[in-house]
Amino acid sequence: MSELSSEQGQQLMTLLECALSKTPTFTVREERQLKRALTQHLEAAGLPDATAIADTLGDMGLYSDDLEGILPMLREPKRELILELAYRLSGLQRSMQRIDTATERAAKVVFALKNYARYDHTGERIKAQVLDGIETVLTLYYNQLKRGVEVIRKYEEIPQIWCYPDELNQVWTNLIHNALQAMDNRGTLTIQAALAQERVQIDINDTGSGIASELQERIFEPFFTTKAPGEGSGLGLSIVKNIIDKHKGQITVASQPGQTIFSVRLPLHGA
Amino acid sequence: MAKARSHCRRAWGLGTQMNKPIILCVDDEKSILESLKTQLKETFGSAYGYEMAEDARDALELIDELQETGAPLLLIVSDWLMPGMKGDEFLITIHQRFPQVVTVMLTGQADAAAIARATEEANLHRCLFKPWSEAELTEAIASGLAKFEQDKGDGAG
Repeated sequence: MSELSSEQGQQLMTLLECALSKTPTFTVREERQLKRALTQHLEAAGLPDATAIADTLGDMGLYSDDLEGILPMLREPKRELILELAYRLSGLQRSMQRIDTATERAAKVVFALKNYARYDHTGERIKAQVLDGIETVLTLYYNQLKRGVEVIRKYEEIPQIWCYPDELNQVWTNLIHNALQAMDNRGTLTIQAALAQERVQIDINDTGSGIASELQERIFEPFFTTKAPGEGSGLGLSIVKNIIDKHKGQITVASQPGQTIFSVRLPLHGA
Repeated sequence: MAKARSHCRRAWGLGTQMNKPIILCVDDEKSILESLKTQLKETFGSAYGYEMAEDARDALELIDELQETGAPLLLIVSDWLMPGMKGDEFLITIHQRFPQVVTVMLTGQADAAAIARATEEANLHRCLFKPWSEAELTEAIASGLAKFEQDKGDGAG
């Protein structure tokens, strides 16, 4: 850094402050387009190495909108050094953010797994919030949801109910798994929770291919499956039905191409 | 790690080449792409251009664009488990269209059949497993680039 004049040092600080103020929000694709636009702007400004400069600036989260303040620096003979220093220094923050995001996600998954794996051996009903179970399952399915599936939560305030929460987790897992499979992991998954007539109602709505009406009656039968051999056991929905029956609840389906809704109704006080 | 870097590290300075040869990384996880980019840039400097794509479709589109600009594609590092086309299928497609491009798979889910398929049909150069070390990534890329140069030489001779 001692190679820099005080003016250049100032320019480094300006660049660095600008880079540190950024939190990346763009997708990979968007970043590529922004980098290209930036390259063109730099070329138009008469800078050599426009591609390389745009690449480094882009990695720091800086694009055409930020150019005005840093253009004088880019005309400096020492721009390579200043750019590299700013890239490396701000890189520490980028690495920390990555570590932060990764640990946060790992913590969430561990929490969800612990929740999911815990099994109540007493076989007695307890009071629990069904939305917690749904959220656990959504966390475990994060990898299949993160791209291509928009999850919309329409949760009304619902009370805790007397239930077997671990078994209900299996219900949510099966229904969400089926919904994603029906959509081929692309579409909208809407989960609605409401309270009506002393019952909690959970609707799981997907924008998938739908279930043909002549098949809808049979989907809760054991070993009934429309999936390719090896894809499904045909037991998922029959297990779901058994668990709902155990809770003295109901499960119904309404389906047409492009929309399928599984509705689960559970009494507040159970059996 | 430092050792691998020292013998591979190129000048960090900004090159003057217009259409630099391209190393392409494909993964649906942005943080993976960012880490790959940082490590590649650190090790191989500005001798190459680094392009990132979030799935196979995005990558194929990008490759078409690269064709237009005339920047040569040397090597692809691809994830396996991605939405849409999986990594083995993607690398096989690439190998059919661009047999000279060196293919590397980087995967967290070791699907033996998919790896075997890619090895067989995409002439897979290396399969790395997540979490990877910078040293093994560097080795895979450096040897892949050497292989590209050698194949090119063979082709010309």
